This record gives sequence, C-alpha cells and structure tokens, in this order.
Amino acid sequence: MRIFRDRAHLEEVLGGVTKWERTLGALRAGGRHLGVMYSVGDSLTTMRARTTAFATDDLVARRRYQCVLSPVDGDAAVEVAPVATLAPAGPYSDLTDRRYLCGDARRHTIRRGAVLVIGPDEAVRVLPVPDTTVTVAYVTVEGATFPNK
Amino acid sequence: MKPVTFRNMPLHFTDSSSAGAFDAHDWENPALTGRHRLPARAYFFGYDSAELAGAMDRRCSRGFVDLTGAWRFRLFDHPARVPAKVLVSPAVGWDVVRVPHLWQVDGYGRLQYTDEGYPFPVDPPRVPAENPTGVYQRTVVLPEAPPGERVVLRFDGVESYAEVYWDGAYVGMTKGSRLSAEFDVTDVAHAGVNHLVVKVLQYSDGTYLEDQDMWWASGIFRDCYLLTRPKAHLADFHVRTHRLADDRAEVVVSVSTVGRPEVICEVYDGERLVASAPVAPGSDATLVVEGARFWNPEDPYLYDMRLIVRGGDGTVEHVPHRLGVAEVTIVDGRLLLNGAPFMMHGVNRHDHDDRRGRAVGMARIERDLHLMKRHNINAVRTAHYPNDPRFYELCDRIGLFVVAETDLETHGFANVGDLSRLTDDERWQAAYVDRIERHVLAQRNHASIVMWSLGNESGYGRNIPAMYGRCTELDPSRPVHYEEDRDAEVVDVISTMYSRVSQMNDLGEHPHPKPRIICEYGHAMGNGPGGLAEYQRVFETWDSIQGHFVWEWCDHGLVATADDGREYHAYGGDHGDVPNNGSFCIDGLVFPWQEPSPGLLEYKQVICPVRVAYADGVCTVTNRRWFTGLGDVVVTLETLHDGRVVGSRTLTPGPVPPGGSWSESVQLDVAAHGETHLTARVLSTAAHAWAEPMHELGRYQVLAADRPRRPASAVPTGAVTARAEGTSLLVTTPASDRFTVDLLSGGLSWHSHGRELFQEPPRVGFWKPLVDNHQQEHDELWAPRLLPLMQTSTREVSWHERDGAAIVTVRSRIAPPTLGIAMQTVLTWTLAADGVRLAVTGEPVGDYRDIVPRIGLSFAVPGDLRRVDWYGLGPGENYPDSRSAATVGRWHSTVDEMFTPYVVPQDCANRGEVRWMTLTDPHGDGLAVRAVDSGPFAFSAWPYSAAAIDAARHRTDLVPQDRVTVNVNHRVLGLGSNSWGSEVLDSYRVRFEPFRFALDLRAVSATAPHHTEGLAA
Repeated sequence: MRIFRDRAHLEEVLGGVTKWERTLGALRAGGRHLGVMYSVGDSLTTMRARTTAFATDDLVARRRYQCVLSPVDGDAAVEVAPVATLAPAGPYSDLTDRRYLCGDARRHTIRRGAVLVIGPDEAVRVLPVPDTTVTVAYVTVEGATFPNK
Repeated sequence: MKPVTFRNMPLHFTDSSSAGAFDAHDWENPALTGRHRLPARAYFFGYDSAELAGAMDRRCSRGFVDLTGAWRFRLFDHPARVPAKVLVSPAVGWDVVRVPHLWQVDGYGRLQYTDEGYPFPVDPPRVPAENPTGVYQRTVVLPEAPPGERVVLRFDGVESYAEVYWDGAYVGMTKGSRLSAEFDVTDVAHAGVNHLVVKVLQYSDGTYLEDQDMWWASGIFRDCYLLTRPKAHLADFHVRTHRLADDRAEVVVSVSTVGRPEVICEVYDGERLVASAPVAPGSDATLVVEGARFWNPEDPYLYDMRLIVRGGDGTVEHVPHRLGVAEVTIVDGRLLLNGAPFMMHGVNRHDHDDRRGRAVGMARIERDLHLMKRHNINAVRTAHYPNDPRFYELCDRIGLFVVAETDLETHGFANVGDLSRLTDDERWQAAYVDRIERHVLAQRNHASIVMWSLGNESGYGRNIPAMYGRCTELDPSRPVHYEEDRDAEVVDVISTMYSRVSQMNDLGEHPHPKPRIICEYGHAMGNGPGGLAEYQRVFETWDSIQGHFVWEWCDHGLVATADDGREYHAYGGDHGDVPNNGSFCIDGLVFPWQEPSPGLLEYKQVICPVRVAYADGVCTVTNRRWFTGLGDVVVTLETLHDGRVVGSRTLTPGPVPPGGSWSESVQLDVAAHGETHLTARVLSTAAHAWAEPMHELGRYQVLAADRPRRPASAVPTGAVTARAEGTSLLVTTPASDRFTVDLLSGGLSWHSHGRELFQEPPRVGFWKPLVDNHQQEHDELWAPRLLPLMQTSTREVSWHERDGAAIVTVRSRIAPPTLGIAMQTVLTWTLAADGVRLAVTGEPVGDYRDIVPRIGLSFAVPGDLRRVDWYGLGPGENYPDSRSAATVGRWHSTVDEMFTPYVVPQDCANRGEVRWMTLTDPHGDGLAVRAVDSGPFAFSAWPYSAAAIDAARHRTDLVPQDRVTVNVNHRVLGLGSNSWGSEVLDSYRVRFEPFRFALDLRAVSATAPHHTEGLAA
C-alpha cells in the first residue's frame, strides 16, 4: 500500500509509465456520470461515486488489477491488510478479479486529493463515508511494456 | 489531367472540389472526394417484368453488362508515366488480367502487410510520388440503347483512386476503395465497340483513411458492370419498418425519381399481396402489414417488396427488394429488435481469400456466412469497411446481425504520436462525411443492419460528430457505433475493444446509460483464444452488454508454393516487404483455407443457444435464443461408464420460449465402480441453406458419479533382476523387457517387444513451442530468463531393489544458462515386472515464481507408434482455458491428424484431463501412460520435435521425423489471447513453483490383453 499526497506526488514517483499516466488521466477526468464505470485503454477501469458504492462487508483482494482510490470532496476511510494474514471468505473469481477475505486490518484515512494505491498482495475494504465522493481505478498489474492502446 | 466538360448530364453528379485548402493532384486532395460520380444510392436493379424481378438476378436487369473478366493491364511506376494514347485506343502487348483482382496478388508490384503503420512516409495528404499506377483497358461492345435510356457504369470496389475514360474522354474519378461508385456514361457510350480505360493509383489521400490491418494491395477488386435506366426512373428509395403490434407492422417508403414517373410499392408475402400504395417523390408512403412476421437472425423472414415505376413514355421498370420487417430501438439503455432484447455473438470479418486477397468472390463470402451460422454466430462486424453490396443481401437472407462499418481507419497516425490528427482536422471533414454518407445510402434498406459504425481506430475529433450527424440524418432509425468515442459523447452505443474479463464485469456492473458492446476481443492469433468461456459468463451476467465480436474471422494468409511444390500461407515479410507486422494478420478463427480452427469450435460451444444442465436426477434445457423457441431442438443424452457409452435417450423440449427452461427427470445408470458421465448433445432438426437437419448446436457433460474403482486383480508378474555394469544399471523383467539406466545422466531406455520404446529418454521440461498468444510473456518473462534454453544437470543417480522392483532415484537441476534460477527435481523410477512408475517432484531455486508454459515430461517413441487412444477430453485439441467444446470420453486419432496445421507452427494438439493414453503401431504394440495419484494429465504427440516446431515459420518448414515426440504434462499454461488482449486468467496460470506428479508407463501389446482393463481402471 502506498499513499501519495496528491496526484502530483503520484506523477513524480510513477509517472512516465503508460498505465500510471492513464491512472492520472482517470483521476483528473471530469464530465462523467457518477456511478458509471469507464475504461481507459486496456489499462484500467474507473468510476467516480460515493464511498457507499464501493463499500463491502469483507476485504477485497484483486490479483490482476490493483485498486487505486482518491477522495474527491472529503476524506475517505479504508481498511488494508496483507492477503497472507487474512482468511478467505470465498474463492477467487476470474470473472471479477476479486477475492473476499476477512480478518484484522488496519484502518487508514485518505485525505481529500490524496491517492491510495493498493498492491496486488493486499486486500482493501472501503468504509462508507456517506458524504465523500471518491474516484476508484482498477489498474493492470502488467509491467512497464504495455503495447495495447 | 484536367477533366473534360460533359455536354450534358441530366443525372445529378458530384464534383466536390469545393475547398481550396489543398491544390495538388486530385489524388492528394482530401477535399475532393470524386469527380462526376453519381450520388450514392441504394443497391438495386430495374427489371422489365415482374417475373424477371422476382428472380433478382442482376444479370437479367435492364441493360446489364458484366465487365468482370479479361482486361488488358499494365503497371506503371508513376501516374505521369501513363502514355496519353492508352486512354484512347487499345494497347498492344499488354498483359491480360482477370478482374476483379488485386494486382499485387497477381504478381505486379509487391505485397506488403502492416497492421497499422503506413508503408510510406507520413505526409498527408501527399503520398509517394512513385505511386504505382495500374491501367486497365477493356473493349465494350454495346447494342443501341433505347431513346432516353441512361447508361451507368458502376464499380463496387477499386483501391484506392480511379480515373475513368471512355473512348479517350474523361468520365470521372472516385476515391473510397470499398464504397461503390457510379458514373453516367450515356453521352460517351455508343452502339458498337467502345474503349473503356480505368487508371488506378495505389495511393491517394484516401489511403490515409484506409489504414486497416490487412495487406496493402490495389486494383479493381470487386465487380464492375454497366446498367441502364429508363428516361424516367427511380433514382433511389428508402424503406423503414416499424413494429405496431406483435402481428402488425408499418412499412414506410420514400423515393427519389428522375423524369416524374409513377411509383407504386407492393409488398408480397410469397405470392400474396399484403400491402400496396403509390409513392410520391418527396413524401413518405405508409403501408401496413397485418399478421406481420418480423425479421430476426433466428428467423430471417423476408417479404418481397416491388417498386413498379411507370414512365410517361410507357416504360415500366420493376425494382425488387427483399424486405425484412425489423426495427431497432433503444429503451432504457437496452437495444431492442422488434421490442425484444438481444445479444450479438459476433465476429469481425475482413474480406479475404487465400488466393485472391480482398478480391473475394461471392461463393467464398457465402461460405463464410454459412460457417458463422453453423457455429452459432449471429452477428458480424464488417471490419473495417463496407462489403460487396450482395453481402448485406446474404445477411438479410441467412440471418445475421450486421454492425455496418464504413471505410475508415487512420491507425498509422499512432506511430507519429497523434492518432486523431486527421479525425480532428476540418480540412478532412468532407472525406470523412463522404464515407459514411455513401455507405448509409447504399445499405440502409437492409434488415440485417443493426447499427452503423463510423470506422475503426482513428482517434477522436471534430469529424466524428460530423459523421454522426450525417449518418443519423440519412437513417434516423438505427443507432451508431464508434469505439473511439470511448465515453459515448455522441454515439448511441458505447464500446471498447480488448477489455479484459474482469474489466467487462466492472463495466457491466456499473453500466453506462447507453447499451454496450465489445467490438473486438479474443484475439484469435495462432493457437487460441483462451478464456472465451469466462468472457461469456460475464457478458451473460449483465443486460447492458449486448454484443461481443471476436477478432477476427479468418487468417489473412496468402497461398505460396515452397521449392518442393508444397503449399504454405504467406504473411508479412514473406514478400520482402519492409516494414511489416509479420504474422499478426494470421489471427482468425478460420484457417486461410476456410476451415474452422479449434478456436472456432470453442467459440461455437460457449455461445451455444441452448443450455443443458443436470442435477439431482433432473435434466434442464434452457433456451438462450432471443427470438425463437426450441421447437426444432432435440437433446440426446449418453451415459458413459469410464468413457464407454452404456445407454442413451433423446429429449424433446418442445417450443420452449426465449429465456425459458424445460425439465425432465433422468434416471442415470450409475456405474458401481469408476466414473459415470452424462453427455448431452444438442441438435437442431431444422434444415437451412447453411446446415443439414440434425446439425449439432453444442454439447455438455457432467461427471455424475466418481466411485472407487474395482481393485485390479493381482497378476503374479515376478521380480526383476538388476545389476550395475560400468555406468549403467541393467534391469530385466521376467517377460524379457530390459531397462537400462544411465547412472550418470539418469536417462532411461526401455527395450520391449523387440525394440527401444524410447527414442529419446523422458525428461522434465518447462518449455514448449511458443504460441502466438504467449509472445508478450515470452518477451517480458521467458526470453530474459532464457527459459527456452534450460539445461538439465544430473547431480546424483542412486538405485536399490525393493519388493521385486528396481527403484532408481535421479536428482537433477534444470536451469537456464547465465542465471541462478533453477528447478531442483527428483525423479523416482520404479522399474517393475509389470511396468514403470515415475514420481516427479520439483522445488524452485531463486526468485522467479512467475508463469511458465508447462510442467511436464517429454520423450520420443518410434515413428510407427502413430495411433493414439485416450480417455480424457476430446475429441479435438483443448487447453485448460479452451476446453468448452471437449467432453471426457474414449477417443482415438493419429499423431498426424492431431497436429493442428497452424499457419505459423506452434504448440498444438494438447488433450487435457487424460486418465490414460496409448501410442501404438498398426499391430497394436506400443506404450501406455496412466495417471496415478496426482490426477489427470495432459498430453500431446507430434510428428516433429519441439525445436523444429519452434523454429518453423511456415508449415512447409516442418519435415516429419522418424520418431514421435510425446509430451505428458502435469500442468499446461492457459492460452489467453494476449497476442493482443487478455493475458492468461489467473486460474489458468502455471507458475514456477513446487510441484509433484506421478505416472504409470507400460509397454502394451496386442497379445497382452491385460493392458486395456488395467488402463481403464
């Protein structure tokens, strides 16, 4: 898990790689419907919505697309834990790239404008903060060479 | 060359040299889309009688003169080198070519293949000055035309720029390679001998808009012909249909005419007139069809519509049209056809013939469409240009949704960092709009067209809304698609390409207000695609996802002949073409010789329109069609005990409606020992032009029971004798089989029934010939770690005797050169009187834990062991993520038949979930392999070595060897479709991690009857 102060910080550290450039583009994008998932190339899917739309009972781990979250208009709260420390609450699904897990996790507050990047070996649970809108992107774990547009 | 002025031109013509932004040649001026070309119109013909019209054979239409066939031809290397005299009179000594054709395919100039890059410097609108120019000459003998009759010359496809001359007079010019073009030649055509010349330039400004992923080739590649029209005639018509009720439809017809003829529209249902009305130019005529039968791809019912056109001079022209009553609407974000939702199970289809390139004949097109129907496909995207006008008629008749794309792609601008350069350049707007305008006007009367598509991979910019505006102006009744309008700012259907399985789930779970399709996915390059079943499960989960189109239909290989006379199929680079994209055009579900690949069989199964499930003694049949019932469907059930059919019955679900299910109690005869499978085959009794009655729609299988097997009867076999001799261990069985173990390498030889069973000893391996869909993994993971070069170094071989067997333990390290990563393996051979048991374990060393192509064993057996029997998934090739079309059974084949002839040789022939397999010679002698505690295995058997397959670039590079290569794999990596798209799904990844497996191997003989029973256990 990494928390970047803001998009500029993310760009400073991860910029120059197609998928992260696209992530930055997704975080900046406006004019889209709330609660509608969009995609940018093959790199990611992204949606802007209230945190309640992303909230789950269990922690969620993704293997092929890592979760990126950035609060838009308030602070967000998440719980994060290494997958290895958690117990499965269900099997992994290729269809959703999700595995639900349960166990102890550490709570983090993500400040407005900050960017949370969850690693593929971690699970995250978005906690409902009704007044906060976040942009979430699911970004490919594939490496630096990504020839698809 | 300046155009000559026509004396008169009563038909409207376009000369769109309106903008002054470009002042170069006509072929380098995108503001100029044609000269003297007649306005686009619907594809129709006029006939002299109702009887002739009924046959709809254009050869019998008014004044039809077929201009295909022999033309004199010469290729010049520059347009300015064409002598003026060849426009005036026949040339002597020119070659004769058969039109339609592509001149490069006929050996003139050079073929080149690129996916997206332009084959010349990017300098729009300029193209190479050395612009290959083909000049076609043809003598046309015409009768005297009736007074007032107009003579029209029509081309259905010329690439990329054509100037037309008639008896030396300039007739006109056209661009837009895959768009029809017509010229009025009345004033130059005359009775007797006429001299027709077409000057075709390979490149034009239009080329920048025609950068589709295909061969660069040019010429008159579709039919051309003459037709005549009466003095007063129908210029165009537009018909729309609306569903008023379940059995009532409205047909709205509008016409444009020349010379004020009277027009009457009649609609027939067979011989029965169901509606008629006069149609006045400039206003709509509305006809109502009572008891209407609506068109859909499952029941492509067509009415016969006739427009009877009466001129003031007494001429009567009959214009037929096959009318499908079909209305596409979008309600609450869902596409509906005649009020019903649907999903398009589609493919992207290029025009391709392996001997003629894009000059594809109608017989081949029809077979393409029949093959689609036979494989449950219900939709086709015309990637990425309009097709021959008759294509749409076929789709109306056969029943296929068409995503009708126009001739537009500027993909090569991605290479100069600005994909949208032309798309956002207003100076190109006329050219963009021209391409959708001519397309829509030509095809809009076809029931099969479910939506328009503005083009492919051309970025986004101001010219897209302009195209959309013109498209919806000409046809307000259909939605519009364009994938690069990624957020659906203007288009009606949102679309992506190559989004992965879970991404499609994300998009479906949180849907856009507009309906969604995935216009390309499942890149079918070489062996694959894998993962289609998972895609399908996602598509079927979300109502908003209403179409999916596999890339692509057919490999674009072109027939070539090797030095030894054998045929192979060429791709990029094979003609000395540089740059090229190699075999990226060999990416179809159908081989170039128009036969299905294993990928098509997989796709057929995952989109099977009838589902069969079995649980708790009940068999449930579900109708996954969208418009029709299951009245034509029967389901045969077979019960198998350890792969042998022991019983069967047939179910007849009856007219189960779309989305409905039907259930029947099924009492299974469960085997007391071993496995019981239930296999259901879904058959359709309906006869079609594209399929015989009782053709199979799909098959399903469940493992109904898996009970402990009956213990094999103990047959006293005695003990082996073992002794070391030098660096060898010699083991002899009571039946005189002899094993020899090299105590240095651990290699095993096995002499049985008078011969060596192993031509190459078994070795553990992780590599197999690279499949196209793993190229990116190869480049990123495997090549840097030198996995194809892994070496085995045996550290220790020890042996002892126990319970009458010799037990040999071989400890090895399998590792690539130069690096520290490795797999430490232990092979434990138990050499017994009744055969061999091999146990293998592996423990990785170093930090690499990512994917490998396989974990398994390879060896070679004598070349006459070519018959293969197995109990496992079959009968066809299958892989862990591409096995929907396979069922568990007892199958047999031969090594040669099992080798899939991919255009680019690569790993193939895998059979998974195998309990046992045998390789035998014509006498029944050979080798058997049986799974033991570690579960089923996968195997492949090739007539070539792995190295030879890996090295081969074409099928003719492969030379049969005197042995059979056998791979018995514990795990095989899924295929995925990452030649362009989806990486292997996580569940099908084989990682460089600890493993353990075991196998039994036995020599089998026709005279040793015990083996079959033993293997079945």
